[in-house]
Parts: sequence; C-alpha cells; structure tokens
Amino acid sequence: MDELNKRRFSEFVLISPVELLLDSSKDPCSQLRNGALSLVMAAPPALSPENLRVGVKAFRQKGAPERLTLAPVARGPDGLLRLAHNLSTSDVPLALVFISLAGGDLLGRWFIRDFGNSFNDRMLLHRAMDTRDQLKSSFFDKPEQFEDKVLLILTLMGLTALIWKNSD
Amino acid sequence: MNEDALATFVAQASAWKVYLRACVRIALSVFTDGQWALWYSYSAFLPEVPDHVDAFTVETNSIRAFREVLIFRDESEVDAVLSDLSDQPEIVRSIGWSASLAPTAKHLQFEYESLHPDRFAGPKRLPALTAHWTNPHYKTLTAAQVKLIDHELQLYREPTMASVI
Repeated sequence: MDELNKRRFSEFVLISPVELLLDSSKDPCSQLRNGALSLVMAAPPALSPENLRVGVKAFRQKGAPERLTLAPVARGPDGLLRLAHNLSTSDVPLALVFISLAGGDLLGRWFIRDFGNSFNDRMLLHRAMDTRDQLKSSFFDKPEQFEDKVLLILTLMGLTALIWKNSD
Repeated sequence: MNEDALATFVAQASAWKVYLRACVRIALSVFTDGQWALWYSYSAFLPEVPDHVDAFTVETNSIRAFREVLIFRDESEVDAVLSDLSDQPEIVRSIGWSASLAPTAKHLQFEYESLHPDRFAGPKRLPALTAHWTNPHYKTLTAAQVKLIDHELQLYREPTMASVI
C-alpha cells in the first residue's frame, strides 16, 4: 500500500475489437491442417469485414517463411468472421496470423499450429526464430556454452531438464 | 507532462470508438494529507459488454474504492469519457465524489504503449496509457494509521454488490 502512496498511477487500456478464436476445446475455432488454414474471428457487428486485412507468415519445415495477404473475410450467420485458404504447401507446422484494419492499424497477431504436422510448440517457435539455423552451425563454437546448448536441445525435444552444477 | 502520450492514446481510442461498448473502471482513493487522493485506477475500454462483473463500492472515513461497468449506448458517450480523460486526466469521478491523482495535470507523467505492455499476457493488441505521479511528500503510513484503516474495513458493511451499473 505504501508503494501506491509513493507512486500513484492510473492505467487506461484499449481492448482490440477482434479476436482470433483458437481454443480447440470450443467450436468453432481456427485451425491449420496440412496446409489448409481456416480462421474464425470474433468481431463486433459495427466492424465491416471489408475493413479487415489478414496477413499470414507461414513457417515451413525448411526454407524461408511464406508471406501472404488473404482475401477479405466474410461474416457468417452466427456473427463470426470466417476465412479459409490453402497454403502453397502442406509442410507448414506453424503460422503467424496478423489482423489489422484497412489503413494499417494492427489489431493483434496470433500463432496457429498444425498439431498433426509438428513435433512440439517449443521446436516450432525455435525454428521460427532461428531461421538461419545458427544453433546447429555454432553448436561447438564456445565450449563454455556447451551445457546450455544441450539443455536447449533437450528442452526443444519437450523434455524438462535441469543443469545441476557443483559449485566446487 | 508528456502530452503527446495522452493525445496519442485519446486519438487511438477515438479511432476505435465505433467498436467500444463498455468501460470497466477500478479505483482506490485514500484520505491523505487532508484530502481524497487517488492512489490507483484502471480503466479498460471493451468492444463488448461483459456478461458479468462483480461491481462494488467501499466508502469508509479513509477509503473510497469501486469497481464498475460503464455501458456506452452510442459514440457520443465514448466521446464524453475521452473528453474527460483528455481535459482532466488526473481526476476520477464516481457518484458523489471525485479524487485526484496529482495536484494538477501538469504534475503527471504519461507513458503510452502502442502495441502491448509487457505486463499483460495475450496476443491481442492492447494500446495502453499510464499516468503517474511520484508523491514528494510521501511518508510511510504509521502502524496506527494502518490499524485504523484495517479497523474501518473490518467494520464496514459488505461491499455493495451490483451486477452492472
């Protein structure tokens, strides 16, 4: 309480009007399956689908990501916005979806994963970040980092590992 | 006072006002140095009216606090709230009282995060404005003051609960 007295503050937050539905325990939800991308979005009625722009960065298993802008979305009878698109290859375990208003006002970005085409989400995120495969190419460069890199590999394999060092 | 941050937030909210349907507000005001001082407040502008919010008010001799939902019936009501924020960002008003975050608006420092503040989770964009004032007369509350506040809160009736104001 003393901290609030010392440094008083007010916060104001704007919640984005669009949400990509990704909860697989609920129906409908967005999916990525064998290159078939199906997006479902919640948006207020006042938001015309023509005013939305959807961008996708599709991370392939190998090679540079594919970037594309998708056609305008359509509003269904349930009020949700839907968009379906087949990517150029089925070899896409992870995609990053950007939703913005026409004119470039970003509303949010979401990762969507193909659960049947991916090892685990940690590995996918690592591949998305390490596009030049630097972990592999520099694995033995610095001996003092060897244990940390082994730990990273075990983590990317989905294991929960711990470095246990003796201080002596 | 960084007025650009405040103006940028208000401009962003105005750009989205057609989509805004409600605002959830939380405030904590404490009687400090002979006046009601706002110690903390949070306002979230939402694109839909929440299904349920546990609104409440607490009013004792030392504490005034509330959580409430304002429902916007049209864009003019959003404009009114944004106009209040723009003109008097240091003031929070409730029914029958108001409290000030700082002596004047010029004492406030503003920070604007355009995309997503680190402290919030989730992938949605959350443009956020923080207004803060560091109290130069700050003194740690004495044990007696803390006991008094604690006593008041324990004696206070159940917080007034209402679903939506």
